[in-house]
Amino acid sequence: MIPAIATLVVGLLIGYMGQRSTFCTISGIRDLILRRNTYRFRGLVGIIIGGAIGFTLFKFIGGDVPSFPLGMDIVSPGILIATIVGGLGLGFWSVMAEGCPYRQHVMAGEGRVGAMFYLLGFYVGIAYFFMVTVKWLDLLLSIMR
Amino acid sequence: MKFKLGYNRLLVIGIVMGLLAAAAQAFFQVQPPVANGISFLGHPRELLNWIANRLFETNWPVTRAFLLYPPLTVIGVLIGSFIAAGRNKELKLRPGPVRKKVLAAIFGFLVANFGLLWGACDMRTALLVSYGSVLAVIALVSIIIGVMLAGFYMQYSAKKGIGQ
Repeated sequence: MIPAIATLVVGLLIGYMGQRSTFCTISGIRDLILRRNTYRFRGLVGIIIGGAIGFTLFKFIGGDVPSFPLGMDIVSPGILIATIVGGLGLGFWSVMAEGCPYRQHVMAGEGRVGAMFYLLGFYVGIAYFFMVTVKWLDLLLSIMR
Repeated sequence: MKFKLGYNRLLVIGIVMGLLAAAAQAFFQVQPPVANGISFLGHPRELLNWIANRLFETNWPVTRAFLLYPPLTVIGVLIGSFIAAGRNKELKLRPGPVRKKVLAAIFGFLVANFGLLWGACDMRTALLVSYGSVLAVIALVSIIIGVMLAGFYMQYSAKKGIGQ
């Protein structure tokens, strides 16, 4: 129950903050590269700084922060390839959709119809991943072994 | 609530988000996996899998933290955004950001599949970078390259007059 309530509270806070700002990590990277504008990119930098401070501080005061820092966590070439291909696709299609998944949730909440249809495809995509894509990945990995 | 932080507003909001995610993990059992306090692929996936397992008796993976109750991050974000928009008189049905609805759904579908291939959204990738993960650094660089490729494609298509 505690994790569910914690995620609900965190979601409410970041949903409110996201609507009152234009926070989007993908748009931040895009603006930096295409327009040389660092305004939104600072959000991505902020998350990394906030996370680093939080994990370090909370570990120090006794919070549950296992295996911190993670360090080298590349366990196989297959995982590395999936990471690179997945990252490239995530970045590319998020720019085409004009926002990261977080931003799309925020925009759907404020009434943007395109974002609502994005979320429809997004959740169908998650189901498709477990019904179809995972099986193809297993087949590919077994061939690679 | 008004944010008057000037040009560093998003930096401060980002730091607050990072701290919230770290606190969710460290003190409110939102783990494993690590650095999972905020995730817009992991939590929607857990929520969908949890619902599918309950309704259709599927056996899709759900992490230990969310076996009994699912993560409600996305529900919270939708409600939080709805409240913020309503309070500031910005709540109304509008088109966009992608105007063609089918195209928007296809983009969502592709983002979900590529994101799950890596295993995290861009925000959790940033959190994993702050957690010291080398794999996340590689993923973040890949995301940046993907964004660059999309930016160049959009510039090219604008020059050629190819519409969205």
